[in-house]
Amino acid sequence: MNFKRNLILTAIGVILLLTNAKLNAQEAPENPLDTLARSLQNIADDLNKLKRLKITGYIQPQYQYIDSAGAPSVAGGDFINGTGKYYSRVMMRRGRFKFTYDYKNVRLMINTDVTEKGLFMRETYIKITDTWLKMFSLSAGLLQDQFGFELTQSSSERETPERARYNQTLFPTERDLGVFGSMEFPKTSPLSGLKLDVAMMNGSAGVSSEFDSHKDFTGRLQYKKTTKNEKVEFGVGASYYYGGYRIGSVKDYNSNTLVSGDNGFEFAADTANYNRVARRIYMGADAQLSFDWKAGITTIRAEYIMGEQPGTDKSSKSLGAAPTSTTTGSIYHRNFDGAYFYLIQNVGTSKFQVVVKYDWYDPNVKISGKEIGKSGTNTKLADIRFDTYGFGITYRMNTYLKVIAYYDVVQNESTLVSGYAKDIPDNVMTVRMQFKF
Amino acid sequence: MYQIIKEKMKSKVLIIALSLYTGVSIAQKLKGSDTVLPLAQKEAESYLKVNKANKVTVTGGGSGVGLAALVDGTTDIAMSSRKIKMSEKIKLQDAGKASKEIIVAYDALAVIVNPSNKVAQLTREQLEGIFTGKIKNWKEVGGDDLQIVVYSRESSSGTYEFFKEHVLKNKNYASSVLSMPATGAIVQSISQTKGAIGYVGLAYVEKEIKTVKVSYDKGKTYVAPSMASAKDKSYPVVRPLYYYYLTTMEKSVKPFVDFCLSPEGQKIVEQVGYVPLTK
Repeated sequence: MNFKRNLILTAIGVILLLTNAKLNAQEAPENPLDTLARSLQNIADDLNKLKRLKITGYIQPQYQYIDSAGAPSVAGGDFINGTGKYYSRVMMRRGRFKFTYDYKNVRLMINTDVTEKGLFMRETYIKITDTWLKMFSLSAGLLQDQFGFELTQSSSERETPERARYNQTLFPTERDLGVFGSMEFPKTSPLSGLKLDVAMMNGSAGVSSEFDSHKDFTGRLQYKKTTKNEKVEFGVGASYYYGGYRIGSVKDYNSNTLVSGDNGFEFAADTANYNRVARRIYMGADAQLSFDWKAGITTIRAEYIMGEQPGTDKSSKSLGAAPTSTTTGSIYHRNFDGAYFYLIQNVGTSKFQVVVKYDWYDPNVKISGKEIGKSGTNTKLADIRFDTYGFGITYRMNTYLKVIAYYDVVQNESTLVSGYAKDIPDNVMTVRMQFKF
Repeated sequence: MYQIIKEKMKSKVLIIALSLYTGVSIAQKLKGSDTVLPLAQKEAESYLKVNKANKVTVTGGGSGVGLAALVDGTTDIAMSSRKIKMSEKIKLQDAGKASKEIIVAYDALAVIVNPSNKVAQLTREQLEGIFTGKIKNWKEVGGDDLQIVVYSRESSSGTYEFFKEHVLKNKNYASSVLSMPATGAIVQSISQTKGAIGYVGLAYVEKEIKTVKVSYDKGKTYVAPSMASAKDKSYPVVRPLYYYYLTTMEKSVKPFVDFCLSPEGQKIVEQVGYVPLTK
């Protein structure tokens, strides 16, 4: 019985195979060129899909040497206490891996930082560009702060290892959570070169979730132009930051002339202070000029910023974490200013570039020198002005690799604050290698 | 006889081995301007006839594409119909690179219309009006009652920028202008559209389209784009065409560049329809 069934099934199978073979034989053979064209089209389609995703980034291993162990520094963070007069370290300053996915007018961007300290998210956002005029875009997510020139310039392109001290203090992570709109006039417009950025941010530096309904606003207007002979390029910009920090304390310190006649902080303890928003207002202006001449391309940049900054007794750094309890979260209101100046010279058409930079940050312009730290003034380390003179040389090996040797001469005011009666030994030498892909 | 053949074989093997060792077999890539493209292709063809061991590949895309490729290191020579921009120079320097600029030929930029169009000449001011959208109908410049359809290259094109700067006096193109990705597409569109106008390099001028005489002295004299008028400098819309290469690559690209600048190479410039360099 089984044998008979198997025989029938085998016969059906053979008939089907033969029928199929006959059908195949009846099909016209495909032109090899058509086959090739179809294969190429499939490859092109797959390639176009793959091209939507771009992986870029850079890594910056560096060696640093500071005048004294344990010195505070903005050149990659404070140096850990140690023994001996000098101190050195090797560190991974940045390890950026950026994933960009573009589909039509939408971009998804994830930027990570991988160093010995761990993996950190730097930016994660969606950007939508208008398809009609192609001059408006809207981004939402964890975004780069939009203020001034240096802050928005990539660390892989900056000619010095670190941003100016004031930028690191006011924008410690250079990022924030929010929405950012941009309007850039196209080449065909008479206003070509003009760009306006407006952002609404949490104001928590992207390090913590939002803890109040108060939002911070930033705006930046910039204009960039090149002369007809392509020898000179210049840019100017103006920035404004309007925000605040919710006070988690009844204690409040305002900069003022005290009863004693000294300048210092006036203490106020009032329940009305609790939950009040302390003003965080910055105004800035920047200018850039590059010109191509016999000695090579020269670039000069300058930026100035002033405003009001809420901080603590220990630091004027922007506060990102949620306000602390009523007993510990005293806020110090300071009027500050800061600036930087760059002179960058490419050495002819060689691979070398030299840079000179000067920057200052005065966290409290109402008090200076020996007034700081004076008894009864409530002024401390956070009120000391720092001036930094930097010198460096860069060797650009190729498109991907460059090496920079840079020396920062850091000078602080002589004050009455313990340890800061004179300039502290905190000059830093940095030798950094950068591979960018 | 056998000995002679053996000796010849030996010498050939030696030449091949030497070529491989010394890197005589050079592969060169040229990328960039669509205007320079036909010239570079012809130059490469002739160059390869006498330098058979070498390989030259030429691709278009626009001056901006070529110069970006030079920064990226994906081309050996960037072809450009405009001068390198300051921003491109900075990018090159940031990559530790320096470029050398060579003018290989001159190009007369021809204004072209459909052959059925009876307008034969235009002043610069009229061209400005047409391309900026102020003049919309051919009857405004002595033609038929027909709407003007303006074609232009994309903004990444060096020709686009040159025309804007020299003919439109830096005024902006009308938003209604149709941007084409390649010069060939402009020629094709104009040959098929009655009211069309556009601009192309002299090398792209063919029977299917008609060139227009241009006046730069408000209608006193009109000059047709031609080799002769470009050579005697009576035609006003002439621009240099460039090769840019990295100074570090000079040794490998120089034989080809020198060939382009040689009398033989300059003869090809004229054959293609561009203006050779004057000695």
